[in-house]
Amino acid sequence: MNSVTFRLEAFEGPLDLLLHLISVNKVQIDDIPIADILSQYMDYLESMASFDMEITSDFLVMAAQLVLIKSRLLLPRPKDSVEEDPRMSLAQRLAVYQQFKEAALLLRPMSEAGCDYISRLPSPLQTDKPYNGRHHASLLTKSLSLLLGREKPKPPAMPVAFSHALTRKHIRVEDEAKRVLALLTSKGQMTLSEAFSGVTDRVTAVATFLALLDLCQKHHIYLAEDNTIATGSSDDAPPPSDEKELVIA
Amino acid sequence: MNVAELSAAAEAILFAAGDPLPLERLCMALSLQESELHSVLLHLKDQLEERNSGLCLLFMDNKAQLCTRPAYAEAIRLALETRKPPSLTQTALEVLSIVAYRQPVTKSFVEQIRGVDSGYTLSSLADKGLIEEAGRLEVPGRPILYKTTDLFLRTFGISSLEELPPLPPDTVGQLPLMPTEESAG
Repeated sequence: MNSVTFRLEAFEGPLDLLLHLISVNKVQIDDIPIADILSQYMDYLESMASFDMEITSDFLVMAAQLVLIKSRLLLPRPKDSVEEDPRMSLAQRLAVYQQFKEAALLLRPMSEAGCDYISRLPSPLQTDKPYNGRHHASLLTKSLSLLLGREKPKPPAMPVAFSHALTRKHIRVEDEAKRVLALLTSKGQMTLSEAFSGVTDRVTAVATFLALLDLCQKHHIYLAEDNTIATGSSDDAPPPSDEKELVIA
Repeated sequence: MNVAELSAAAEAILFAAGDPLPLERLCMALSLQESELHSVLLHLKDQLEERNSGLCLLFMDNKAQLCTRPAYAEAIRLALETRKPPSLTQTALEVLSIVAYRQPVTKSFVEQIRGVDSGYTLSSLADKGLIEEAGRLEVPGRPILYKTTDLFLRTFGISSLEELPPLPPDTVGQLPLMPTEESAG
């Protein structure tokens, strides 16, 4: 093949350059003459270097891949080999990229048209309204008594609570999630505070809270307005599988 | 309210809303069924045309928006001293097509197709409001997923993704679909 002269365009990346070489050489993507394309590719990289253009690692990785493909093609293959053509995965990558390059060309004229539609920003309307709900006065007394109830003097801390003072305590959110789910499954429905019953230290409380949020996000549990929790829509939801280790120094 | 009043009400609501407004909100505000709203909005659209209004009604996804007519864009830019936004680069369009046709996609998926880093282009497109985050892929690393926005629909003059031109054929093999479990890197 004749050597190809070309302007030193700045190509997006190795695939862009290869597609260019393929079109300039008038060959098909599914039947690339690797030796020629490789040598032209390397010529291009040299030009880039001589023009002091940065050769990103993507280009070098592709160069290595082309060399590998060429060497595979040079190796003799047994007659009835069912090995895939070493050029196939490269050809597939190039074909897919080309699809989207062409799609981009289709979208271009469409984008020119749309930018002439101008709209307003939303009007800054006052959204803060005075509170409109209606509640019974007993709700206030109830919350107050709950709040005061929590002020019960705590028993003096057991020595075991101090054993973690100098070491990190590892509580896994996943474990708390399992605990909450187990509790919920046996009770069917429970209040938010029941999820925290038996939790004595802050680390576990935080882990439980995160577990509740996580379970809620994955739709394993459902939090209702009256502070009750129920199991989510998927009753046979698998136990949470991410490993999340909560470490509090 | 009769149709004329309803369409005037819709016009007022859409003006105040500015951004595309979900049709169901209009239904709720005007106490209409979906099909009734449809006729009201068509009436509004026709009215705006008949009286040669500088405004027009656009539909995107399940939302509606009041916009200026493209014919007057230049006059508006002169009056408000704003410039036409620079057209999208080839790179931006390539990345945008990948997102548009394969959404939701991760940055990694885009880079796999293009063979180059695309993070900058993705954030630039997000800044322009053409793409947005659509949750995360539930695999290790939980990478961000991207999808197109209503502004994308409006910018390309279509009212839904179905109106995108068909993707040019893959000349070689199978089209890679967005994998549910991505290989690292």
